[in-house]
Amino acid sequence: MLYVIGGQKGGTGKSTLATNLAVALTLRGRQVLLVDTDRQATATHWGDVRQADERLPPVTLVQKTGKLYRTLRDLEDRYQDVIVDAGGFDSVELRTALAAADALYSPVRASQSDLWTLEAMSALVTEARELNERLRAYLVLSMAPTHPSVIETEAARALLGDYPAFTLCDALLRDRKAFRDAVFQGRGVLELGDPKAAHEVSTLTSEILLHDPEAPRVPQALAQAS
Amino acid sequence: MTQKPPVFRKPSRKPREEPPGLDAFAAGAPPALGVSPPAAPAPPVSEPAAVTAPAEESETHGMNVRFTTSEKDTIERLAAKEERSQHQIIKRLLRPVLEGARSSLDG
Repeated sequence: MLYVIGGQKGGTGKSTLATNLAVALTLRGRQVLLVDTDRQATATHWGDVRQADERLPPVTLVQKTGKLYRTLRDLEDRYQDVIVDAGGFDSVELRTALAAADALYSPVRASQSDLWTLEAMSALVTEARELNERLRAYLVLSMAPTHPSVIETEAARALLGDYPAFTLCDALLRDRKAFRDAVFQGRGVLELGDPKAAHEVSTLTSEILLHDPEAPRVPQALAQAS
Repeated sequence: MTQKPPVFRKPSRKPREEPPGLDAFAAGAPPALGVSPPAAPAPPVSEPAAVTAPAEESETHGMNVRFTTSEKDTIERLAAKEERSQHQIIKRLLRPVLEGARSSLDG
């Protein structure tokens, strides 16, 4: 599968999602390639730190800028999962990756400034689908408040349903220190000791895998019985 | 540590050729910030042109270089004598050497 993690707003947790998804899929025994096209190179720095720690299972990472279509087509034949960290703005990299991708996952925070960017992102996805009709697009509620009484998250969920170009993921990532710590340590939160953050990433990864239309399905009766 | 068995991927059924219209779609992206090399800063009037980077190569990079005390002393004295910064002295001295080295490497 070729996943693009992107959007048109910085600071929403795209590299956090990309690196944690890469680790989560790697820990599930999949062959994963992380492609960093973001000029901030957060994922690349993360990869450098990770590479220096021999205790961690390696995640292959490459940096690539410019037009990505053919490169990604080649790479996805060699890896089970290719994850593109496409940065937080409209770019040649984001557009050419969308033309090749199976799915876009766009993290958004429960804030008005993030929601305002969705109109443009929604139009971009619609345009990309004219070139790539397979493209599925999902929003991931990211950096959501951890306090259970905060209703901002639920209000954002209601608003995010207004963008038909996207499907909102059930799983969400909350604003936890573990995510920030993991980036600095070249790890995913699944490799740290924070069970809540780990549960969030694990749940989201399972949901993402289920989005694959070619994924093997568990018969409903069997799923209910288990 | 056990080696993971290689996973043989069936080739993608997706078209390998770029879809028509991809270039136009890609061209719709705004210019990337920080990608275009910034315009070369105009040199100060008192600055000889040889010290500034060539106009066609205005992107510059910072490097940390350590000098011995005597080398540093020489740079300081040259800077004082020419009434220019130590950075400018180093660049003036290094650029011709690097140009020559590049010509030699390029054959």
